[in-house]
Parts: sequence; C-alpha cells; structure tokens
Amino acid sequence: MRIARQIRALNALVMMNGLKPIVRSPLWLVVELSFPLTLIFFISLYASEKAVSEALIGAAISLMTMSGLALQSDVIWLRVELKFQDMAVASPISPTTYMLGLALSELAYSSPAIILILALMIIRGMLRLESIPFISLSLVLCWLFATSLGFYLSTRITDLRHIWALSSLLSVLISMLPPVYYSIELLPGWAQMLSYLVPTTHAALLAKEAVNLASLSLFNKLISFAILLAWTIILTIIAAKRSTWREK
Amino acid sequence: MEAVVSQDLVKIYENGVKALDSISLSIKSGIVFSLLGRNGAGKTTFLRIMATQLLPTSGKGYVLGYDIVSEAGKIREKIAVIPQESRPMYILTVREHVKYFLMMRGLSMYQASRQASRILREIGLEEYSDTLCMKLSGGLRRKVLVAMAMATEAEILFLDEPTTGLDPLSRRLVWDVIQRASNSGQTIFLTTHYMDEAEKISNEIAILHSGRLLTSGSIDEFRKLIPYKLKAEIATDNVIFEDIRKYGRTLTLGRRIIVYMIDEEDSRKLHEYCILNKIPVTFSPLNLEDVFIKLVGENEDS
Repeated sequence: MRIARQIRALNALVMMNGLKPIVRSPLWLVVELSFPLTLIFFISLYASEKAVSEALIGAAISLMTMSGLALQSDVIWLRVELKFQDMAVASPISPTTYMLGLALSELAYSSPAIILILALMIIRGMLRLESIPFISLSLVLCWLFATSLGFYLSTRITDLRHIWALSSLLSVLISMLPPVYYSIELLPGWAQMLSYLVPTTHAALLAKEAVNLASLSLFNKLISFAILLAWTIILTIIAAKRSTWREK
Repeated sequence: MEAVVSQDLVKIYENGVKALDSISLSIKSGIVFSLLGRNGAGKTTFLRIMATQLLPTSGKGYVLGYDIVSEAGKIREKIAVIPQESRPMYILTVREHVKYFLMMRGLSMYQASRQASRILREIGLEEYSDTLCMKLSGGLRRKVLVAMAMATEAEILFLDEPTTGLDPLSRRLVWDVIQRASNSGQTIFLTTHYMDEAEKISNEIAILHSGRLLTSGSIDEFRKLIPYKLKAEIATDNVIFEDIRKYGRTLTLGRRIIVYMIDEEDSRKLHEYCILNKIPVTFSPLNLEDVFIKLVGENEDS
C-alpha cells in the first residue's frame, strides 16, 4: 500500500480500537490515571518534595510502559476472540501498519493521563525547554520497548486469561518495582545491579537527569540509552521473526 | 474466467494432521459456491489457504489468476473474508464498522463514509447505522460482518460458515445479503454444513470429507448422483424391517428408517402398507441432504 493508504489504515485502527471506545467508555481514562496518581498521593504523604518530583517522572514512564504492554491483550483479543486479524490478513493492510495502528490506539488511552502528569511537572517548575527533548526521548523509547515486549508476548501466548494475568504482573515488575517512582540510590547495591537490567530503570534515569533529579555522566547517559534501545531492537526482531501474519 | 482454482492442494499441519489431501477444484466467477462437509472435513483450511491466510504444504492455488503463495498481495487487494465465528466490536456502531474497515483497506474517510452509507442502505441496515453492535441480535451482527465484506466491492468474498449458530430467521437475513452480493457480480465462496443453505443460495457446490474432495458440480448435477426420486421416513418402532426393504433402498439413522424409492408406484405401495399396519410415515422429495448423506455415508463405510 502507498503511504497515504497506510496512514488511512493507521487512522482507522486508532479510531476503532482507541478513540471511539474511549469516548463511549471514558471510565478507562480514569482507570489509567488512578494507578500512578494513587502512588504519587501516598509518596506525597510520606516523602520529600524531591521524591514527589521523582514519582511524577515515574508516573509518566509507568504510563508509557503500561500502554505498550496493553498491546498484547488487544492483539490476542482481536485475533482469537473477534477473528479480526484474519480479516486484516486477507486485506491490503501490512502487518507493520496493523501492529503500529494497534500500538497507537493503546497510546490514545494513556495520552490524557500523560498530558496531566506533564502538566503537573510544568506547574511544579520541573520542565525546562531544554529538558523536553530528553524527557520525550526517554518516554518514546520506553513506549517502544514496552510495545515490542507486548508484541513479542502476543506471539507467544494465545490464551487471554494468561495474558491478562501476565500483563498485570509485568506492569508491577517493570514499572513499579524498579527505581522508576523512586531514586535508585535508595536500593542496596545488589538490587541496584539488578535494576540496571530493567529498561525502565534507564528510561527513568534519563528522564530524571533531564530535569536535574539525577546526575549522569555522558558515558552513563549513552549506556542507558544503548541498553534501552538494545532491548527494544532485540524484542522487536524476535517478535517479528516469531509472529505469523500468514500462518504456516 | 475462473475465480478460484486449486491443483493437488495438500495441507499437513505441524502436528501431522493431514487436513487436505490433493484437492483440485475450479470455481467460476460471479457465482455462489458452497463448500460442504462435516465438522473437521477441511472446509475452513481450504478457504483460509485460498484467502491467503494460511500456506499450503504442497500443490498450487490461484485466485483470479494470481498464485496464492507468491502473489498474495495482489489477491488481498481483490478479496474480503469473514472468518468463522468472527464477531463485530461491540462498542462500535454499524456504520463505524463498515467505514473503518474500508479505511483500513486504504479508502479515504470521505470515500469510506459514502460507501458505508450506500451499502447499509442497499442491504437494509440503514435504520441500525448508528446503533452499537452490542445492541444488535446475532443475525444482525453477522449481517454487519457480511456488509463489511460487501462494502469493499472485492471481487471475491470468502465467507466461512456465515450462518452457524443463527436462528432460522437470522439465517435468512444473511442469505438475503449474500444473494444481493452475488447479484451485484461478486463471487461468493462460502463454507457451510447446512444443506438447505447450500441448496437455497448456491449455484455450485462441492463436498469435502476427511480432507478429500468427494464431488463438485451444480445442484442439479448433485441430485442426479442418486437415482431415487422420493424418500419415506418411518420410526423404527413396530416395523418389520424385511417388509420395508422391498419398497426401496433403506438406511437406518438412529430410530428412523429412511426408504429411498425410484418411482411413485413404490411409494404408493409403501403408503398402503403403512396405512394397513398403522405405521406413521412421511414422504418427501429428495434434497441435497440425502445426496450428502449417501456420499459421505458411503465414504464413511469405506
């Protein structure tokens, strides 16, 4: 398909799997927001102003991660329950456009919450003009990583019940437990080492550094960026190889 | 022109199950073609291969002259598929389904909106245009899916058991839409295990059994496959089997005996026998189901 047709297909998928369902069931937006805001609320009760700022960064990272992970549920729902993917396969849409369209439709659910978190960051004076590109980069990389992970898992698991459970578990393991909402220095040495294996830790470090909540050397910044990118590329390649648009 | 052609098509799944065994079939353009068979006969596998959703193990397949393996992209521009047990998204309206499906296939929003309105008007779904699919009956939901496929103006529509699980009235709603699509020049390839459905809406049919093609042809050609004209159904209770057998060929199905008769004289004699012995009997002309039972039954025996 020509680019114009691919863009129309993307638009259609975002509308049918994102915007229209959101308009008809806006409670989902509240659900998306409730999780990070609850954590920020508790942190603000017990911790310092710096910790609240870190939690806001963590909330943005967490929202992007959950948005990407949610892709797995939708891919399987559309493929197994509605058989919609079968209809898409036997049509001119490309598999890349289909997956990207679904990923963007997931982002539509998280966007209002992310905008609210960014607005809170502006109100608190955290965001400076020069920090916006770095924050955006780490958020986008985080979303790409989570999307490729969601895409990969959707090729491995076909039972929706497993996916729902796994999605919740991964959200905790990737966006809550690692030092995303809090500072990595609060962890003991061995836990810090473990955290560095998790891509969201690096996304959070890059974002916190951009708003002066963490201090990273240029080398460490590049390492964090490289790890995040490597996870994304590796998962995407594996998922693309494993995924079967046309079954064998 | 042939819409769909298969030559010695074989499909063996990874678990070793042979779903299709050397299927050679040719389907003309512009007709309603039904692929019949019991559950697990290989109907869906064949449809999915021809609709470029599944790769064959060996053999050749062509859709509108294009190779199903090497030219799938060209085929996908010209076909639309409604998979078995597919469902619309409950949170979208009828119009949105058709419109977004068309946009997904590359139409502009303006073109898609116009096309959606036209098709919904044509197939009698206009009054439900802005109704959410969750509020529709099962028959109307299926009709929405068929409308999505029809709206594409694809040259071939592949419909996999489009009426399975629907009540008789809803099935007729779907038949009506299929016949409209056929009247507008689209080729319809459908799978079903409902004989009455195939008989009612098809121009040509084929029967698959255990992955093998038993036969194919027009409805009339099928009827000629068995020499009998009439059949009688009798409950097995209080019937002396030997007495019944002399009136025609008998087949026992559960607690029923079916007697196939060549001429009306045999049926008249059987009628008299049943009246004399106070045995309830029902006479009817032969239909596709009888041909199916005979063909599949014979192959089951072998």
